[in-house]
Amino acid sequence: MKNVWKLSNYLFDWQWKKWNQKVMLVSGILAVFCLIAMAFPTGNPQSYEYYSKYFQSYDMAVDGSLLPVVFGLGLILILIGLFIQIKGFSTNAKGIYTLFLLPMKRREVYLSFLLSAGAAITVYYLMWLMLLVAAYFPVMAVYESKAAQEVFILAKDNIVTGLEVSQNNGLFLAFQRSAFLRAFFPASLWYVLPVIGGLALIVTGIFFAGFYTQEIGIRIIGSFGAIVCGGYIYLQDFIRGVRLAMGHGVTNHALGHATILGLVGIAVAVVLQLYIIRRLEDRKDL
Amino acid sequence: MKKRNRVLEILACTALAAAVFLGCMFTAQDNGKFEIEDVEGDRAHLADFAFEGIAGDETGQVHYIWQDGELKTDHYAGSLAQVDDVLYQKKLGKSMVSQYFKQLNNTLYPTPDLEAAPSEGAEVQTFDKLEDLPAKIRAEVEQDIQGRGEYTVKAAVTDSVDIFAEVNDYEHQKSTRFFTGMQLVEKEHYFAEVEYNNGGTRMGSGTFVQDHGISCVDMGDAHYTILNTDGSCEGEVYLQRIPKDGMISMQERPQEYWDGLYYDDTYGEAEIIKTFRVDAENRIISMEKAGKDRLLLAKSENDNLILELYDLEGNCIYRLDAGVPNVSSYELDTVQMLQREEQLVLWFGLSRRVQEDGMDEDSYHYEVDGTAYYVVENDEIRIVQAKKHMDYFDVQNGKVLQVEGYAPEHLATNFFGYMHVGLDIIVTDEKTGELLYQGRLMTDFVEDYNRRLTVVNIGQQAEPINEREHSVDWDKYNEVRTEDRNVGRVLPLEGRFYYTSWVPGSHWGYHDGDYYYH
Repeated sequence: MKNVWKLSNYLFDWQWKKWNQKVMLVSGILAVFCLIAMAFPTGNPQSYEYYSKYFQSYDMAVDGSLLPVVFGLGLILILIGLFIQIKGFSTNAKGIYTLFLLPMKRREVYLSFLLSAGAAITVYYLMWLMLLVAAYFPVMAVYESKAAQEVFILAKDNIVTGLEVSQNNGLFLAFQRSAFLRAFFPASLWYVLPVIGGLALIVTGIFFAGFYTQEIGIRIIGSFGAIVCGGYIYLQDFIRGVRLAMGHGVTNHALGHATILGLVGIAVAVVLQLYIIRRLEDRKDL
Repeated sequence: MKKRNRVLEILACTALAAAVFLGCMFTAQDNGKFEIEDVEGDRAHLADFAFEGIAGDETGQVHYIWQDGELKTDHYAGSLAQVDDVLYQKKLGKSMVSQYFKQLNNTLYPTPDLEAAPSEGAEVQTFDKLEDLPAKIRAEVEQDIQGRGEYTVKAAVTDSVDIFAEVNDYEHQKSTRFFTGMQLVEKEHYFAEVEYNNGGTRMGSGTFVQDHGISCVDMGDAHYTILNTDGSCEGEVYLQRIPKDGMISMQERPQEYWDGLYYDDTYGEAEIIKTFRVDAENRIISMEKAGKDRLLLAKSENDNLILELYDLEGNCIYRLDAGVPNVSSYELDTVQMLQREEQLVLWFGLSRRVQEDGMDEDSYHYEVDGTAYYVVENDEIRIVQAKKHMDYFDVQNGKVLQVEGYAPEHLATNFFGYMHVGLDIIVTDEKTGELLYQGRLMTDFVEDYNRRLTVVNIGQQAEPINEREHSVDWDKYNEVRTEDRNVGRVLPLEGRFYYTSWVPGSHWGYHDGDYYYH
């Protein structure tokens, strides 16, 4: 087991230096830019048309910004990087053969890759979670103070200003209402499993494509299938939230529907992983 | 030198952060303001009542229960429909697995179908040519015909039809068909069937009896029915008992039921308990369940609303002049009631159509002459005094509970619609009307309306907002679509909330299942 950790740290550091560090950095910087842009005044109150964005709640502001895009792109880049890393070891003449010459069982090597991948994704998630939670306070403080400065000229002698727009329990409500936040950073236990299950299945699909080389047909179907299904499980709540916000109809499932999807995702991921490991051990060409 | 295990550190850190985050969010669920505050009087009076409801938006709902003088709340992270389903199943006693992972389709309880057939002994003329039909009927039938080419027509015309009713139990596939007692003789009725030579049939009948409506009360072992009559009905109607074990299987219906222009026979058991004479001024308005073995009959006598309480043998136990004269001038389209084993609480608004002088025929508005409140218990019916338009109403131990939702006080209501953000609660003494308690279910839902102000144009170069035609950018609004939380319907903890309509002809069709929170 010690070797597994050692190898996984090696892989993680390797990928970090090569790729992940850059993705995290750029993603983080862009996110901060988005947050600053959220707080930055837009529009001119002294014109014919002015809509104050300072009355928005945190969930509205986040959903309307580019934060979901930045998050998604960063995640995709990390996943692509993961695939390239695995593939790189496979095709590189020195790569995977060298790895399998280590005094470790093949499945231990595999587990190392898995742990490294898991760490890469979770550190990305951790950064974003902390960013989104921490940003709530300065952003909403700015919004509240700016909103109090907005002026409503109802009539020549009836001017309303100094509105207090604080929201009790706003952080919780924001994570419950925002299509982006509730889908990827769920505040309710019911919706945590689809996130885990979906990501697990997507990662499984990538590993399938990377490690399983026996039959090309199964490789394509297995990997694509896992990625697509995992993607669906991961994204279904977000898609639903976006559709609702756009005014389209959505189907109402039972409250536990998403949890079941998540469980199915995890179960299928585990089964597929065991299958990949099995086939890996069977490979005669290593 | 011990190297750091970054992978393990990261995995552990994230797991910890996730746990802390989820834990905080879980406790934050109950941080919203949601409590009953006293305004006046002694809160102990409210403890006589028990009710519940849900409040929230499409992403989360609070389920509250007021019972034994305590308000308990529970949070659910789901939409109104999802939480409604979970709570409904909980009420039905279904397992946790079913509550959260299965959706119950609300059972639909069909009310009886009404059909007409020529009366026994009436003169029936049959026709097989369109031209031979009496002029008025011929015009109607011709309107029906689609012009799909050659056809053969069969028609029957009679001057007196019987109204039959059919109680159907689709779950067990059983049915009983019986005569309601009413004969319509006010005009010539016809039945027609057109068969097109190139396929297709078209049935038509000028006798659309569904307009009349029929009340059907399920008393467990039998249904009790009576035809609801309108101004065109004159004659007799029967209060009947339809025992459930006397219903025949739908497969056993005689073939003649399906063939032919009409069917004038009955099947299944039907027992006439009482006969009523009706005409335009003396109508049967509706019949409702008033306890586990009591029927409440709402009727008009000389156009005054009368409420009578019957037992299951047809004995009138109590009779009350409801204090509503000219009842036919009102559209009693929202009749609400709490149905309990030993009690019925009933209320409805007296709304009537008013046509403005000088406006055209089709435009009218409604005016409400107050709300009528009644309670049926201990074999008597009482009129109860309460304010207009209460959303929820109950009578217990000589006290009257009146609940009304209240609107948000917010700048945004100048521009947008709004819903209830709390409840005003009053308890009065039934006999004296004295105010015993006044309170408010307070929430912080009004803060949700802040967000709507983001689509109001407050450019200061433009005219003042109230003088402008457009102060809201509706395109932006539709893009942004804020969700506001609102307090939904209040429901009794014990008993069933039911609403229906006493407008003639409205009792046909389907009613939703027992329980709903919206």
